[in-house]
Amino acid sequence: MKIKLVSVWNPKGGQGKSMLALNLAAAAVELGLKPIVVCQDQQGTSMLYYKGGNLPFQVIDEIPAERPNADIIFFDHQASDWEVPTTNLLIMPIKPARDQYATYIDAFKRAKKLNKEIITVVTDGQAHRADEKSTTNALIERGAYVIPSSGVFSRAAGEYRTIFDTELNKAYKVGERRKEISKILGKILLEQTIEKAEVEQYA
Amino acid sequence: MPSNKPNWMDEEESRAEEIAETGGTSNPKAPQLVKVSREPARKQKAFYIQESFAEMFEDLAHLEKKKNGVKAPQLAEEALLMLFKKYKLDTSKL
Repeated sequence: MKIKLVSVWNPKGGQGKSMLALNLAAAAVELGLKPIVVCQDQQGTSMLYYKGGNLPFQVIDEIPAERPNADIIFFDHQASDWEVPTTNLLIMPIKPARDQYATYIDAFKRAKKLNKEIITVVTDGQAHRADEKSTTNALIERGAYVIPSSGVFSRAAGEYRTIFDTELNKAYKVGERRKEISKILGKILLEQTIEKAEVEQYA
Repeated sequence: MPSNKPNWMDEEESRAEEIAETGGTSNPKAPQLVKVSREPARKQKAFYIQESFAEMFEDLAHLEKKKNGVKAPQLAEEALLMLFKKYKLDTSKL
């Protein structure tokens, strides 16, 4: 079986790359898949979560030399990384504000020139802020997914957990947030295009 | 349904389009992230092999070098790994 390779990428920091990589991996576990997160960030956010001991999947700090035992690999890229990832499928989180959008759209167009498949995820949006709401809606019209600002993410971060952790089963609106993450995972799994390099890398 | 996208969105997009055409960034003179590829520590190991084998290995290393491919030490490791597997050695700690 081919391993699905997914890069979570946006050169802008603080958009939710690690949060998405970790929670998408947790959603994959819920489906009975074996995910791995490759932390490619010197800040090591994903690695810190893994060291916290609450993750039901592995986070590693470098690309494995041999084919790993996994169904799906999420590459958690670092901020300021302007090099478009080699995987065909990119997940680009973005906060819905103009200065965040400016960097996102620069990177998005750079990746599109290389014919990458891109799934945009609007993160941390505040529905009561008109500008953020209209930005979010404009991105939804172009096919973006949305994960609104939610206390459950702060709680999960405080304990180095994902929102799929059973400890957070009673958190406010956790079911909705899990559903939103799972929906993105569903879209990822439906993406059939795998570039040649991906096939060769772990062939 | 009419879109009520923010009025700055088109402006940012046309700016990004221009930048994408050049392949640059919004601030190309700023320091860039440099990715360091770490090679493992290696030691020299001398082998007695037939001359024809050595020549063919050198040809292969040269061909790879020309296309910026796999380097000679990595090629040697790849060959040894196949050998270790053939003789069923535990390669998990390599």
